[in-house]
Amino acid sequence: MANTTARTGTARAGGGLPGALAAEWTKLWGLRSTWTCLAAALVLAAGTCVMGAESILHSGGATRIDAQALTQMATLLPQFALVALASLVVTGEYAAGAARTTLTAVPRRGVLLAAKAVVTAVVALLAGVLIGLVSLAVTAWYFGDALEVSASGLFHALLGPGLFLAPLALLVLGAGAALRSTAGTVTGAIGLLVGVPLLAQIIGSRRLLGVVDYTPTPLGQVLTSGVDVPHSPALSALFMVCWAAGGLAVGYAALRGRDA
Amino acid sequence: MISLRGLTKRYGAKTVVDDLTLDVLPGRVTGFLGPNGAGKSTTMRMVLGLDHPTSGSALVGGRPYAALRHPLREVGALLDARAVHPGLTARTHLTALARSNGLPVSRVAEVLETVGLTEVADRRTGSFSLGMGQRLGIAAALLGDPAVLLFDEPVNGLDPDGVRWVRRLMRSLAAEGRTVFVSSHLMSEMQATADQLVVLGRGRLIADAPVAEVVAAGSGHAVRVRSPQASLLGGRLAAEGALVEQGAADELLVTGLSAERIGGLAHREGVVLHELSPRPVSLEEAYLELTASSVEYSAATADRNGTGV
Repeated sequence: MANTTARTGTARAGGGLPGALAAEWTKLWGLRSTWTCLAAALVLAAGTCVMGAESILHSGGATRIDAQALTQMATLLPQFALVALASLVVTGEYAAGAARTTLTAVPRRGVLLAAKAVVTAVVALLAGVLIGLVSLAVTAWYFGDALEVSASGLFHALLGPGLFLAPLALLVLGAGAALRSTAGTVTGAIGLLVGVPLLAQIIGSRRLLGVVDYTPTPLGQVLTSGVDVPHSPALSALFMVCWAAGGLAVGYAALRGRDA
Repeated sequence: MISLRGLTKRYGAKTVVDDLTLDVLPGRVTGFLGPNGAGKSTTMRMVLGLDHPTSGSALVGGRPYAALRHPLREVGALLDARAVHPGLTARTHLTALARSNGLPVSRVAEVLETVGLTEVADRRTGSFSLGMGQRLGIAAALLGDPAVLLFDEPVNGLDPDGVRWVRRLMRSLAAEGRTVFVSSHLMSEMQATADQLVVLGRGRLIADAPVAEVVAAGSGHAVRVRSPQASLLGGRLAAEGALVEQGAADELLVTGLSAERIGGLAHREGVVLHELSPRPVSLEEAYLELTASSVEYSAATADRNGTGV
């Protein structure tokens, strides 16, 4: 029964950031929502790629097609599944009050956020590579002989989605730590990804469109397609990292300053 | 040991915990009592580093909670039964906690066995009853075999068997030399479990004393007296300075005079007594008296005064 006398403190190692990482990794894969989000991301990627390929075929086909031809399209819908996943890593715990349990196990806010960030970034990067592989596979399947493989094309097809999705997921994670609400965080992300670019186009102000060039959506388009507009891929990746850093900084300030 | 020094928490103009200074010592169960809104949970959250004190400090074993490298090995806490992600199984929840503090994962099966949740270990906790949630929370608190344990209302939602189990658990944890700090609104529960009582009212420390002392410091022992000449005797007792309450026609409830003095007085007056029985004040009454002036809601005050002493 109440056998708690057996002292277990033989190993004094463990804990700290590695412990927090192991805990976050365990929780992430123990949740059904993680698997649902990833499955949704891959199904959406495949579905969009097939539609894209069909559309190219019906408009007369192509004699030459790049490896990353469908990658940008393939990332469009799955990004929202990744937004949900990244948000849930932190807001899922606030919804149930589990955040308090987590914080009693890992009281240092910086360590906790770092652990969540690493786990989230790894998953988003992996999801990005899988999305890239799907887009490449569909392209090869439909256009076989016409597929033109270049180093740059392969880079944007396989790593482009991940280089966009991992910083995006970190931005969402940080926002989630500040907002503590899944609905609020996901809505905010959709607003940034879709609402802001759309609004800028409707308004048509050149200055506003210039600002929009620095938001995640056009940056992601550069990273997944390899075009140089509005910025080079390297610069786009750098701006995405800035978004991630900004989001995490805001999240850290909220975690540290506010009562749990 | 838990040490609070001038611990204060304000939300805007409202002071929830007011300059609390006390030590919760190892080797005994310390009950933490107070009406709703007295600041018990806020105090516990500050001990665990979840809420920031406005001023003062809360130390565990001489250090702030956030400075502990393996907090679960030093402090176990049950805050509320719902502080678990509903989408995780009990086993996964505990495994993650174990890994976070470098505890052997084999501990998970042990604590699940201890709290009797082995059979439902692989069910998602969202489907758990309140009682099962409490047991899971207790399992998490025991996971790191800590020397300090905090339980916020641990018997909430438990069946009588579970209540007895928790009571025995608290006693045995304290007997092993651990610090056990338990909040409850069930006075009877504390009377059965606690050695020491900390009573809080409107965030202020009202009492910090052994249970027996708190009970004795209540309005003194009341004495039940039955006599065919109750009204005559009542008048005489009141003249002696006792507080007399008329119960049934032949019954008096006397406070402020010992049974010996009442008996002597009756003898001198030639009053026939049918019963003269000292009635110890229950912890419940002592507690209500202590907190009567500090309850948050005046309706509750009226209610409690109505039950009268």
